[in-house]
Amino acid sequence: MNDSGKTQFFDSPEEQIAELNRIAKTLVRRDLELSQVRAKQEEQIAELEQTARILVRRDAELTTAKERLERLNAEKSEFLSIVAHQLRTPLTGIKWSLAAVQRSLGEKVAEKEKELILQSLASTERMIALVNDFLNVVRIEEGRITYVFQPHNIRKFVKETAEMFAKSIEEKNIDFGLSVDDKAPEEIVFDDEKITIVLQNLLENAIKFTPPKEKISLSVRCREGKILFAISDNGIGIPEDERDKIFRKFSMASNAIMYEGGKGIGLGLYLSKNIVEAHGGEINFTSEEGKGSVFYFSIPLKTGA
Amino acid sequence: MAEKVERPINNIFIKNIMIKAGVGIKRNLENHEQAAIDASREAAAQLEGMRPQIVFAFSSIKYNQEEVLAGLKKSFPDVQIVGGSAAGEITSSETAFDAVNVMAVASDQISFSVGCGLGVSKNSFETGAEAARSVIQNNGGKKPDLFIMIPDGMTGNGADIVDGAKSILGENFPIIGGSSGDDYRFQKTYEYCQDKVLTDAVIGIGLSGKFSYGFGIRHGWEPVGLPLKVTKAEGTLLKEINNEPALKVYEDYFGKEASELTKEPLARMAYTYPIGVEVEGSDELLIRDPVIANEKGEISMAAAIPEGAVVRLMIGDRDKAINAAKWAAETAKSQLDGRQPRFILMFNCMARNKLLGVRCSEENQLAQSVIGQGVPMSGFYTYGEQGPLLGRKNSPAHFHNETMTLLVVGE
Repeated sequence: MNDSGKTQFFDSPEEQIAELNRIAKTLVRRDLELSQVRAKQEEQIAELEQTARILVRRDAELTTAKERLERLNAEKSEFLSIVAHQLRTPLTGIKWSLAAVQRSLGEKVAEKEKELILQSLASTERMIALVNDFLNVVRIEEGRITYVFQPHNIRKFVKETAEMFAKSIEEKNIDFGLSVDDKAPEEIVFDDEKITIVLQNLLENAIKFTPPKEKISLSVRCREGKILFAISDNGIGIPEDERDKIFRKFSMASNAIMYEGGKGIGLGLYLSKNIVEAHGGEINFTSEEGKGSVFYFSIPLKTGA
Repeated sequence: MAEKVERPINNIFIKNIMIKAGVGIKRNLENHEQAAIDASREAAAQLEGMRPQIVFAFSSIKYNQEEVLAGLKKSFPDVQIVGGSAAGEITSSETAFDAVNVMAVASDQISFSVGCGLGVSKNSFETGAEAARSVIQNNGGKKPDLFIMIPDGMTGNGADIVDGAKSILGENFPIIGGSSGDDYRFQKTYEYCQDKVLTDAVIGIGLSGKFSYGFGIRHGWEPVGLPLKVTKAEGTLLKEINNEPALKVYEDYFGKEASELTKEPLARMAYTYPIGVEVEGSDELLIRDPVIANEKGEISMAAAIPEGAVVRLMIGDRDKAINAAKWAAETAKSQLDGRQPRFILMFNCMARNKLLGVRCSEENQLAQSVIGQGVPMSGFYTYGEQGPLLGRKNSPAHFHNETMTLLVVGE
């Protein structure tokens, strides 16, 4: 038969031999082509297998590294937690002892010693606050922080929180304004202890970074099923290129570090963001360097029922 | 070294028949000597404390051959060492292409005599003869019972080497072996003889004493196309076929220009399409590999094909090649007449590896399982094999290509 499937007759044995020879050559050529293709395929398969082996090995290495990091992170959190707890107890002891000394000495003590005791008290309180921040961060990271959502009188809450700063506002002679939306319901559901931390952090920053005699305002508004807190100041502002990192752990704006001489540790905003987000809300800010900042956060508006 | 196993039974000491082999294979491209040391250690560990009489070593050319031998000498200071460079290293456990393969054999009933001949490229026949003569000399002037050869794989006429050895040992003397390789570079191959790395040499190993052995040799390639006549040949240089330049056969069959076939070793493309020569006493054609072609269209062959010979182009098939390996293993085993196999030496043609590709270890494993799992096996991919047609005993040895060549030594 020839290629077209018809039976082919040969006129002579020579012709038949020539045809057989032609077939043999075609066969060898095809075989050569096939074996070359096959060799290439097998080479590619071997390469793929090699790549797969490398990937599997890398994956195993990454998994090991990840597990190690997780273990280290857990150990770090535990360590921080232990340290913070161990620090808080003696610090609280010092604070109360100092307060007792201050009370018992009364007016008998000289002005210079009085000043020293006050400074010691302030430093101790500051340390306690830092330790508390640490503990809160550790709790957040370990998922150990628990929220208690209850209805609170928003006007009373805001007023009381602001009053905690009355002294420092007065000392810096700051023009402080507080306003709460008339439309705001009497009672709103949130975790007062945690939102206090957020407001404290934002107000503390505003006061810290605002020069004397400038303005700070705290306003509370109701909008589209949300309650919006805004703290605006005429302070130093935040440099534009540092705005992305401001909510990160241990992160502070460079001008803030200069301004307050590196007293903060950069946990306040990180903590605040976590708390607001746990309420289902958002936190953000606008700022202009040298002119001031507005930090605002919203949480869903939920009433008692 | 442990004492030989001797058990007193009724006050008569009956010595156990003892042939023991251990095989090790290791890679270490950073430290070549260490690769040999580690492979030696692995092999020695299987000898149960017995001192080996001889060490067979086959190494990839990726290793500095002197460093390999230094490692072997350090591991086996007073043991005879033979072997050579390879185109692949084969053991019971793996088929490798970048390793050092060591087999150590301990026996109190076989004596091994090692000899060598130098100068294959000048006189292949005489070098083969010299290897046989020096083995006899080192065997106290007596012919051994079996002759293993490891000739250089790149120089000389493979067939003349075998004929030279036969001229000393006898026409039907049992001869088996494989030619050294160089990882398909086709440049230079090496042979190991005691403490020397040689090239252009023939290593001879004589086995004498109380042992049995079996040969198995087969390729599985088949002829294709019309018979062709060698019209001009000179030694290993195949000049004309059917009165035309020999290379024309490959041009015709491959559909390629001569220039494409001469720019690199022809073997690279043609080793799975060798030339077959009809011989009496075999249902398979005797194969001759093309190695390199020149601009005149002449082909250097691994062994000479005489003028006037009728040849065919050969074509390989994976399944048929693997079947041939199985047949070779069965034949070798059957020649032991039921005696326990103790070690296997495999001389496997490099072309088989190219034909089988990813399936190359299949036939090696198959041969192992036919002869017996657990029987230590060592060998290498060769540039030529030596032995009688189909492994038949009491028949003359030939030079082969494309074959699976097996030697099994038993009790």
